[in-house]
Amino acid sequence: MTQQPDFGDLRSLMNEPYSRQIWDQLCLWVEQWPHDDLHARVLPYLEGHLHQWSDAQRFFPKRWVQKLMEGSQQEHPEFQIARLLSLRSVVEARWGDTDDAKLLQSFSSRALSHVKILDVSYNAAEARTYAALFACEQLHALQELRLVSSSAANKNENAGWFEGFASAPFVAQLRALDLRDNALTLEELSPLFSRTLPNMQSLLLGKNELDLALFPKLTETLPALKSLQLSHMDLSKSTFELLGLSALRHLELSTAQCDPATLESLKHATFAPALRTLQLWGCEQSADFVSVCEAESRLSALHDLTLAHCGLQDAHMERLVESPGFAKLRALSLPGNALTQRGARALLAALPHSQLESLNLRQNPAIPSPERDVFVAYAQQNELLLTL
Amino acid sequence: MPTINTLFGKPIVNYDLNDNKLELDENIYRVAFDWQIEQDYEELFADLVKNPQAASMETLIIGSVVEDEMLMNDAVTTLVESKDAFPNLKALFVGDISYEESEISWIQNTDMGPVLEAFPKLEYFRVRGGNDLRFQTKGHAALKTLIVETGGMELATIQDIIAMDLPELTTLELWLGTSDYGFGGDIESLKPLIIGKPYPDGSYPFPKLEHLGLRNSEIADEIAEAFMDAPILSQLKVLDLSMGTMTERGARALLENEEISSVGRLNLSNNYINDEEVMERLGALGAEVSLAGQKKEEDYGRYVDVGE
Repeated sequence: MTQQPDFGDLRSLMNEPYSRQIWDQLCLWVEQWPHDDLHARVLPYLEGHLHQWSDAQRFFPKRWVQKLMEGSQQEHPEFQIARLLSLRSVVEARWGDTDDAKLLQSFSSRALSHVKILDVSYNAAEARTYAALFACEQLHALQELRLVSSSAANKNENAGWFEGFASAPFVAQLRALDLRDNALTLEELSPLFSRTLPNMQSLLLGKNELDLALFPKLTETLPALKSLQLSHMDLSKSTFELLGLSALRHLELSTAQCDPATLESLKHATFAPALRTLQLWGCEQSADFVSVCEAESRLSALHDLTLAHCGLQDAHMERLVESPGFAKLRALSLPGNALTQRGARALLAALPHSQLESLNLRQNPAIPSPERDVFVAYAQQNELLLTL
Repeated sequence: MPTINTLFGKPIVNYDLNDNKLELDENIYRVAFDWQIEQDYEELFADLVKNPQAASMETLIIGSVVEDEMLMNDAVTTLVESKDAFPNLKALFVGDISYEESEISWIQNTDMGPVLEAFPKLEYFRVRGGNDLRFQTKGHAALKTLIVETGGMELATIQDIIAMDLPELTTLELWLGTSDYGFGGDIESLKPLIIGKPYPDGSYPFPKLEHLGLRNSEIADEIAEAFMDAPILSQLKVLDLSMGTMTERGARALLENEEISSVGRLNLSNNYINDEEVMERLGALGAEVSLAGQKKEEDYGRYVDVGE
């Protein structure tokens, strides 16, 4: 390829299927393209053709991110083609100090106006930096915000770092928000619930310090939520009937404390008939979820079930395979449990009557070798994706 | 002192001037300056070259070559000049020098391109020490395993390795190290090993690679993230990202990578992954995951296992 690509080269490139190499090459070309032609022909052409690639595939190359953080005063029209900006881990705490000037600088860039996915995770930034993020007028196209582990350093000094979220100009259009691992209390999370967010479809709240009052707030303000991830919450003496999210399709609960009554309440929840994916990881008592799958369950759309590291034993397995819900499952993941020969045989006997396409039995060390061999043989003959 | 005690299941013994008869079926021989009896390396190596059994040797290890200064240049030149004495050499380890003899960052290496060209039957080549290490050769037709141990791999070394034509290579292990001791690359320079060569080629540099180790890296989080959508994952049986500075950030990126479970074995040992939930999920991946020896970050930061 020549050093100076012409428009024909560009068209040829856009006829290729997406790969990271293709994207790198495109970014390199537009970066070097004469600005007049870039504005007149190239950017309009790309605007019409880049829709075929997802926003996550259209990420800012690292050198663009560096330019952006350096506050380059030059015009960078080429940035318009990128949609995902990752500012992950650009501020690291050392000896208790932070230097977040570059992150702060980046929030004043005009280049943010086309960003749809912004990842600011793993930064030990100061509260003023998040305030600048939440006040950023340029982020008017933002649809997904990732803020994992954003207040890990200087937690006490940075209390209130999330306060500005409520008034952020992009809040109403946000579709996905990742707030995992921030040790936020429900009070600190309250800016999320200050008004109805009709477009929010995905919310990850794992490893925060939340309590049961969360459920009504989610119900009131996030009516379109389809995917919810929670972990490290005490859900005992709770009821999912308070979680009135009728659109919810995917629910993940990790290392949460549940009791049998809480699990039982799942089948009475508003979202139960629509729920497609349920992941229970390391939840105490979650083996009792098997009873939820038994007779008359309203979880009629459940296709993907994970019961991982939850003390599942042979008796649970025998009940699960007999339940009406089992026959509808397409994916079953049971890693880290205590299944033995008996449970394995119960599952093997039920497999021919199932619709399973994926089965994960890793970290069940008590399943004997002969049964493992039978699982492998069955998987090979029946196109079952087996992890053993 | 050697860094390893056995290779290919055989014990490693130091070559001695009194070795009249080598037990090549039983032992692997290491030629190295012996500081206990102050036995000169050049004399030892010259003696081995004259030994008729050298012609039958399939494996050779070169240890420390000078008492204090770890300058490998002369030893490598002599090795290349003596290539006719080792017509059957299939495995070679240059720089088997433990930290008791010399820190890895003190080893002054040289261009290994002539070594690869001198021994066309080599299937296993291992080298330790990153200073001035180069691979200025077009490649090697038979090499199956390449292991490069450094406390800081220079950018030119990375570029040399990626540029080599190694059609039979199945195992590549790079100890990338830290910028404090010479690591000059970044995630961009490693991309060909993760996602393939730049457009318009797009191919993976080593078509038969099954075992990839990007170990001992201070950018382990970035490396883990870069494997998203990497086609090589469907080809790899082993991905080794151990001995580095990976945190929950990199670990979560691996968990979110749907293709990672297609790798047979994932070595994440000796990193900084300490979140129980993340570790539990890694353990439940389809891949056989090793998480042993996770380190705790101290006030002064995170460190690779082998730097100085």
